Amino acid sequence: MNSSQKIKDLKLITFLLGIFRIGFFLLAFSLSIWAIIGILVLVTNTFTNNMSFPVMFSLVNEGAFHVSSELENGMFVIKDAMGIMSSDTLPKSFIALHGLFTLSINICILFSIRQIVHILESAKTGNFLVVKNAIRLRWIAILGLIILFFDRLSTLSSATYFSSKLEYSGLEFNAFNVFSLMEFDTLFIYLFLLVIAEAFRLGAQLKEENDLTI
Amino acid sequence: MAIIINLDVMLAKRKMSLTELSERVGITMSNLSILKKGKAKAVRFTTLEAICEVLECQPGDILEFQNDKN
Repeated sequence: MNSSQKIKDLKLITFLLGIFRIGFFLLAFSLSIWAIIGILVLVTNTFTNNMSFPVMFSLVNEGAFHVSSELENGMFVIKDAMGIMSSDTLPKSFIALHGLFTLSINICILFSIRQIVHILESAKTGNFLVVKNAIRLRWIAILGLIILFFDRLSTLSSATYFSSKLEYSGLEFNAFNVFSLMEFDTLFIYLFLLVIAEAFRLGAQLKEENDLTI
Repeated sequence: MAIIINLDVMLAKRKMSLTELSERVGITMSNLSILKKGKAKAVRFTTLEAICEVLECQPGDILEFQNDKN
């Protein structure tokens, strides 16, 4: 690798480091604000219309589908759609439960960003291929899986809770749908990251062994 | 550690400094220091040959096996 390529790589690492550091502080700041609002909501039972919750629904009526001028118009239905609702009256227990999920998810995201920052910092100093970074990668993958689990659980609890309580003309609120709940692509990405982390760990061990061969 | 490095003993016997050995063998001071402290994971035959040649000794004079169980 020539020197100009190295300088370019270093610039990219510095740029990414800046982005992730800013992202970390922005998320930490917004999480603090969100926590303050959450506590206010729980204490005073106001501002609940600022909070949003996922709901699942299907349309009762069929719609017209204009395929083309030559063909007959078809019909369509909308099933298991997802939306966001907010209300001015919500029970505190539900707000607390949902808040707990959101807090857990955001803490996991913050911790993941912190790990990425550590990896980038080590890359900047040229000490990238080390076992510590492999462990950090593994943590990012595990946290990603935890985030996915809490996110789905949060959606499931919200949709289930509101399905029996919401009423709207032409809409049928559903408890949950397996296909809209499962995110297999995200799941595979994090599982693949776990594999990468393990390969990284083996590579780092080999490098360490090579470095200590006199 | 089961393998003990007696490099400092041999250096003392030959009245040679680590810096001189480093220069004559062609190994960096940091690598020799790793070897001397017993932190090395492996030693190349070429390195061992060069050290033995400079110190006029046998590999057994530098490396020693100690059974941890005993």
